[in-house]
Amino acid sequence: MRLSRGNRVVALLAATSLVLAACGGDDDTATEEPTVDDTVADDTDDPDDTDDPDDTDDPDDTDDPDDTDDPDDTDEPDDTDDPVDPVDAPCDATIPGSQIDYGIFAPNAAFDPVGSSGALVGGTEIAAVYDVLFIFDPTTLEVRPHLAESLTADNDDFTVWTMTLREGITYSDGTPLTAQLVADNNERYFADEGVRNTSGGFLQYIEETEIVDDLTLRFTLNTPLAEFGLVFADEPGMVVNLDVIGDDANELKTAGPDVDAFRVQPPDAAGVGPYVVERNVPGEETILRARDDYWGGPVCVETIRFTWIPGSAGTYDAFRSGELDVAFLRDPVVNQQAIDDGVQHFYFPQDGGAMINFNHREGRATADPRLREAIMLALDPEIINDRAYQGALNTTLSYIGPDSPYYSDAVEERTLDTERAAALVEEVKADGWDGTLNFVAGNAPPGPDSAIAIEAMLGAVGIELDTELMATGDSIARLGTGDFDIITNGWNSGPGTMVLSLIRNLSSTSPTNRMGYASDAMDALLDDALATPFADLAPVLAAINNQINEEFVSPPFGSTSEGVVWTDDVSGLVPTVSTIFLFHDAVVTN
Amino acid sequence: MARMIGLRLLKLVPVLFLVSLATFFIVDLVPGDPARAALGPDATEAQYEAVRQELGLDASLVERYVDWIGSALTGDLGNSLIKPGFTVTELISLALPITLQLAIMGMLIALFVSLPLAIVAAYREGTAVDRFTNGLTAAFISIPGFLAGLLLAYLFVFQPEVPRYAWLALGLAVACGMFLTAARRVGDDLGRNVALWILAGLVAIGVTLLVFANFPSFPRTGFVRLTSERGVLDNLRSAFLPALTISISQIAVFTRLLRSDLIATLQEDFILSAKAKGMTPRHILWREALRPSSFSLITLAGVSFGNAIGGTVIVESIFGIQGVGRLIVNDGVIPGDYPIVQGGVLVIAVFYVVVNLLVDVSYVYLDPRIRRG
Repeated sequence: MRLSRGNRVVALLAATSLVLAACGGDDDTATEEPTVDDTVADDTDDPDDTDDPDDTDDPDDTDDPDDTDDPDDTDEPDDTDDPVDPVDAPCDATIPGSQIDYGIFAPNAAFDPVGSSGALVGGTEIAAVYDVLFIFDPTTLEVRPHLAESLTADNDDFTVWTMTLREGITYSDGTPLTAQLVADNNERYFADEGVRNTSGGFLQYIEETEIVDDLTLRFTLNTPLAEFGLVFADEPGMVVNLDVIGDDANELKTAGPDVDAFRVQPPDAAGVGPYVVERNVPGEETILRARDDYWGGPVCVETIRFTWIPGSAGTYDAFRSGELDVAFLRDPVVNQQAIDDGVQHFYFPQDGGAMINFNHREGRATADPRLREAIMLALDPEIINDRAYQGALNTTLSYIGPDSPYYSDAVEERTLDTERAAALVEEVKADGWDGTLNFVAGNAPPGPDSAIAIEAMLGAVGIELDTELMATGDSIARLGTGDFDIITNGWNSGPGTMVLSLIRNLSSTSPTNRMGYASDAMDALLDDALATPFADLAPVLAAINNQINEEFVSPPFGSTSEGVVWTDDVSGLVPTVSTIFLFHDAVVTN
Repeated sequence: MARMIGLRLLKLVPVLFLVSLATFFIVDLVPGDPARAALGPDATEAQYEAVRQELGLDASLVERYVDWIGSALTGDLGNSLIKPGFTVTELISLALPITLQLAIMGMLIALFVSLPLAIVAAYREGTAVDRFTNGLTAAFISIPGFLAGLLLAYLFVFQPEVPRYAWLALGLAVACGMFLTAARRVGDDLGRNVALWILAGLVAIGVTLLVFANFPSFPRTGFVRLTSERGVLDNLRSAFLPALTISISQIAVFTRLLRSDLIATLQEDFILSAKAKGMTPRHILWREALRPSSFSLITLAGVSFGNAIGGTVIVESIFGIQGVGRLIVNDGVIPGDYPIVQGGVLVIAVFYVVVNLLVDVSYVYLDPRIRRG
C-alpha cells in the first residue's frame, strides 16, 4: 500500500501524537484545586524548605495556634485572637519571583492619602507605598510607633502631644522625612476648605502644630484625645514627599497635571513604604514592586498584585481556586464559610455593621420617641438573620456586640416586646399619625430580604412601611438629604475606628450626623470617649451603648466583620487600623 | 467601491451624533452621583456639593452636552470624573484591546465549531446527526450568557476533571467513529481510504491523549494581556473561558443559519450538475455550496461581532475582566461618570458601523453578481 504525501504527513502526525501522549505525564498539579492542606503537604515534601521559618512543618511552629494543619484549629470558629504570624527575620533579601495575589474590596484609582475614599478603597495599597507613622494593633488595642519613634502626652488631659520621628529615614530622591513634611502633609487635608478631606479623621482636633526640630513636632489639640497616635496610623500617617508633586502640592483638589500624574502612579520617591507602584490600572490590576532600599530592611515579597473581583463570594471563589493568596472578605455568609473551611483569617469585628437608622428630625414621624421605642421593641435580629443572612450574621441586641474588644458586662441589651410595641404604635396613631413610615433599604443582597423581614415584623405591630429599595450610593444620598423615616445603614465601628465612628454618627456637631440626632448627654459621653485610652474605654462605650437604648437612637441587629483570608503560603501580614494590612514583614513561601 | 465606502463613512457622522445625544440624556436619567462615588460615604453634604461644582455637575444638561461634544470634536473625550488623572481615551485604550480579543476569539470559536457542524447536518439532513445537531443548538441557544459563563467557570475551574474526562470521552468516540468508518469501507472502497480513516483515528487518539495528559487549568477571574511578560499561553488561558462563553450562543445561531442555507443551496441545479460530473461530496460541500450559502452567516457574524464588543459586560463581570463593557457599566453608568459612558458608547458605535461596512465590502468579493454589477 503506497501512501500519498498528504497521507504520509497524517501518519507522521499520528505517530508523533501517540509518542507525545505516551510521554506526557498526568500532571495533576495543573488541574487540581490548591487547598490549604495541599500546600502544607507540598511544604513537607520539599527538603529545601526546611530552613524557612514559616514552614508549617517546622517543629518550632507546632505551638502556633494558627497553623491550619493543626486539626484542632479547623473547627475553631474564631481565630481572631492571634492569627497573624509575626516574622522576626523574614528574609535576607527580596525573593525574586515571589508574588502575593491580593483580592481587594474595591479598585483604587488614586495613590494619595488625601482624598482617599476610605480605607476599604485603597488603604492597604496606599499604606504599602507610603508606610505609616504608627501601627494600631487590633488585638491588643495598642498603638505603636513605626516610622515615628515616639509619641508622648505632655499633659494629663491629653491636649498636648510631642511626636518624634525616626532619624535617617529618607525618600529615594534624598528628601528626609522631617517634622515639617508631616505638618505640611496635614495641611493638605484642609486645602480647598477641606473639600476632599474625608480621611483626615481626628486631624480636625489639632489646633496648633509646632515644629520643635527636624524630627520633633508638638501638637496642641482643641479637645482631649487620649489615643492621638491613632490619627497617624491611618491616612494622615502616610506621609507624601511633596517635592514629587510640584508647586500644586497644597492644591491637590485642583487637578493640575503634576497632581494627576502623581495620583495615578506616584513616582518611587513619593513614599518611604516597602513598595513602589509599578502598574496601576483601576479595575484591572495594581502591581506594587518591592523597594530595594526600604528603611526597615529587606522586603521579602517582590511583587504584590491587587485585583478586584466584585463581591466577597466571587473573591472567595478565586481564593479557593488558587488565584489569590490573600482575599478581602466583607460578607457575613462568605466570612463564615471561610471559617468553616478552616482557612486562616483575620477579621475586624464591625459593631453596628447591620442596623437601621431613625430620622430624628422634627416633622418626621420617627421624631416621636414612642415610635422609635416601638420599632426597637419589635425588631428581632434572629428573624432578619434567618431571612437575609442564612444564619451567618452575628446577631446582637446591643450596639457593642459580644465579639467587640470593648464588650463588658455593663453593656445592656435592648428588650423585645411586641405587645408593648403594638400598644405604643396605637398610642401614636391615636395622636394623629397615619401608621405609615418611609423605609429606604439597599437593593443588593441582603437588603431586599432584610427589608421583607423588617416589613413583616413592623407590620405585626401595626406599622406599615412604604419601602424603597435602591443602590447603595442612592441610599447614602437619601441618608445625606434626610429624606427618610427609617433607613438601613451600618456604622461599621471597628476596634480602631469605634470612637470616630460614634462621633460621626452621634455627635450633635458632626456634619455627618445624618439622623438629625442631638443629645447633650450623648455629647458628654462622646467627649469622655475621646479622652479615654483604649484600655479603659469599655465602660465609656457601655454607657454610650446604653444611652443609645435609652434614647431609642437606632436599633442595631447585628455586628458584621471584615478582613482577609490567606493561604498557608503567606505569613507576616500586619493588620492595623481601618482594616488596612501592612506588607513590610510579609513572606510568601510558594 | 470607494464611493460606497465614502458614503457609508459619511453616514457615520449623524449616527454617532445621535448615539452620543441619546446616550447623554439617557445616562442622566440613571441614578448615581459622581461626587458621592468620588468621596465615598463619609463626606459631608457640603463636601459633596463642592465636588459637584468642581466637576461641573451643577451646569445644566444641555450645557454639559455642548461642552462635551465640543471637546469630543477635537478628539478630547474628557477626563473621568471619579478616577483622577485618567482621561477617558486612556481608560478606553486600556479596556478595548481586551474586549476586542474576547470578541474575536469568541467569533473564531463559534465559526470553527459551527462550520463543520452545519455542513455535516445539512449533508445528512433528517438523519440522527442532523437531529443531534438541532438538539444541541437548541440547548445552546436556550442558555443565557450569564448562566453559560457561570457553568463554564464551575466546570473548568472548580471541577476540572469533568471537562477533562469529557474531552477524553469525546476524543475516543470520534476515533471509534473513524475506525468504524474504516471497517465499513473494507472491501467496498480503495485501500488507501481505509488506511486514511485508520490514520485519522490514530491522530484523534493521539491528540486526545496529549490534551488529556496536559489539560490546561483556567483562571476563574482576571486577564493576562497579550503584551504581558507572562506570555501568549497565559493570555490564551485567561481569555478562553470568556471567549467560549461568548461563542456558545453564536455557535447555535451560526450553525442553524448556515445549515438551512446549505440545505437550500444543495437543492440548486449547479449542485446537481456537480454531482453528475462525479465530484466528491467534500468538494461539493466545501468548494461549491459553502460560498453561496455564507452570505447570511457573514452578515450575522458582522452584527454579532459588533454586539460582542458592546455586549461583553456580563462575560467581563463574571470573569472579572476590565474590558469596555465593564468599564462602561461599572465605572460609568453606576457611579454616573458620564464622560466614560459617552466615550465608551461612541467607540463601540464606531466599531459597529465599521464592521458592518466591512461586511458589505466582503459581499463584493463573495458574490460575482455584485462585483460585476
